[in-house]
Amino acid sequence: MKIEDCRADFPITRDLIYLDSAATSLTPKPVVQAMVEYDLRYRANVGRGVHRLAAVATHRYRDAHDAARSFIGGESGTLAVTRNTTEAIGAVVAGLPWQRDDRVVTTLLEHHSNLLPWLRLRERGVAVDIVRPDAEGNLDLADLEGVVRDDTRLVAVTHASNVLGTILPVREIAGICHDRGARLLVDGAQSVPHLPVDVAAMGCDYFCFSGHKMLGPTGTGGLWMRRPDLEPLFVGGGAVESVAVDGYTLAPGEERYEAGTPPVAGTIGLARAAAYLREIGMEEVRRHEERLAARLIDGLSALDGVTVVGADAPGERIGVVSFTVEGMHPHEVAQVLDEAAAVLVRSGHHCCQPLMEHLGFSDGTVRASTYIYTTKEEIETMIATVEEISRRAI
Amino acid sequence: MLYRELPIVKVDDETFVSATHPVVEEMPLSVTVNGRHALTAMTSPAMLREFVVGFLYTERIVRDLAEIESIRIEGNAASVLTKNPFAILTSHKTVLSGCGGSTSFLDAGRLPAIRSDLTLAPETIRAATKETLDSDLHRITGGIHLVGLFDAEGGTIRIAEDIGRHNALDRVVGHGLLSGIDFSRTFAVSSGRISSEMVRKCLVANIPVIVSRGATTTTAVEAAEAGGLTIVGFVRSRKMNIYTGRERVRGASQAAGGG
Repeated sequence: MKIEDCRADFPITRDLIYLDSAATSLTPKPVVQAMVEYDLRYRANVGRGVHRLAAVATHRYRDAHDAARSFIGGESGTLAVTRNTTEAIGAVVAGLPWQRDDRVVTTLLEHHSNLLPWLRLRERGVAVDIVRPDAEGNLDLADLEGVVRDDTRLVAVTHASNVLGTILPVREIAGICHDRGARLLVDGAQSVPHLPVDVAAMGCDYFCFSGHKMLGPTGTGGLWMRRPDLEPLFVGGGAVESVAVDGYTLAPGEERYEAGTPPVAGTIGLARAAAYLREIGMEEVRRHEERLAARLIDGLSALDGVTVVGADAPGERIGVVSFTVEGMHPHEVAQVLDEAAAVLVRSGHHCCQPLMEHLGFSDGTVRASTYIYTTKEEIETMIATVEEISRRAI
Repeated sequence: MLYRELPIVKVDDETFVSATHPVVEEMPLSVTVNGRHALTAMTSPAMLREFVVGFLYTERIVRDLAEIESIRIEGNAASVLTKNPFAILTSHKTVLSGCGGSTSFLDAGRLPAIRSDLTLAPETIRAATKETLDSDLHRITGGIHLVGLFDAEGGTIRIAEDIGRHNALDRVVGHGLLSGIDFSRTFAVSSGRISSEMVRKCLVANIPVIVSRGATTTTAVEAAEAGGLTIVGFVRSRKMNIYTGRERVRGASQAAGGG
């Protein structure tokens, strides 16, 4: 499928200019249809029954599970379906045997979901080293290398910043981690929807992502493990091979991480979303968004009174651009964009309050984020509207 | 491994000796289609995907490969989903009967006729038969059937081993489907008897010639006549018997004498 032909599958794009895909993406009709088909035609629990609906539902669920895993190049590892990235990161925190004086390294670029779990570990005596980017938001790899020590158990970094759109060199970071014997967790919430991702080539140990940012349903995500070496967050139905009163044996594979009825319709929808993206091609998705982001940065930077955050950051980026308008609160800008031009953007701290403080934007920023259904014309409308707003503000 | 060394007692006249002997592996494979049980096959634990695809096709449960959405094989169970699973899913009838090959039946009016202009030289048939029977597993265990699929020039497309010759034929058909082979330019060689069942599968798959080192049956010959399939049996050293479809074996039309 050609990327410019996809808009018909997203009814919301007929009326509104949706530039908040980094928060959650729109979902196309085929994804919704795949879920409706499950619910109306073969709904049954999975992995538990022998009747015909259970057989078909189980088959489709397992195929969907495999499709989600292979979408991120994860065939060699184990994928557990989770509710979202936050739950996947939480499962890693809960599943590792932490000891007092263990160390974790993370960065100030992280989303709260990849920061708070580590800050909470301090209560258990784990030391947390936080690497700070420069004033433009660039992370110096040497700074990270400097704090990863022999007693660092885990490094947790984002693959792409949800505020700046910058992409981190995760492959190089994996090299640093493995030299020091530390494991690497990559938060892929912003990368899986927008870039070709190959977790095996990346060299990470844990990879977390969300379905709802990649055209899939809310309430779906994944935790990929190079080796299934985590203690499961929950145990119970479906996660076991056998149970007796005096003990139980957990299932060997992914089932051990999916106690309870999984999101069957959701996972089927997630797999359909992955197939939809594959039909377009992730390289094409990346190129499309890179072009849009470049135009956004150029257009907004040229406006008086508008500051684009990290505009000069080198390297590749996803379609995420943050900016401020002098004399206006970001929420106010977002509200005017909505009311004046039906342009929907995010405003505030973007779940990155420490980063906002560090970069000197204590009120946060306005963030525009694109996806496959975003057009050049929509970007021009947005830039023209911001221009009007900024003129009135000055 | 398709066989296991098992302990036995070897008897020679009045002498009894403990020994081991290679025994060919057999496993039950339950096949469900859209959640309905289609069959339980006793089969060899190899080329299971090919077997399932070939079986579904030669039993005409699917009309072509594109109808299959997905096949999952886990342990002794193969689950097949077709692209529109709902017709079978909601049926109250047993649309697919059970074990023992009772799914297939011979009704010439319902079977397709061969559409092929393939002709073969007798030497091609001899060489392919030799090639098919040259199996280590066959030699070691003495308990395996072989079916080979060959192209018009006698080149080997695939040789399959199985405890049952129908299963072995399904395997090479499955392999052919998965590799996009044009069956009208192929022929099959079997180590065992050419039954009506084998004929039926060849007609459905449009394989124009079936060859065996062994015999055939009257019902097989009748079905082959009706469908225009060539049956060649008793291919041994320089000899072979052409039962039906002689026009496909070069030189056979000039046959002299006989009744």
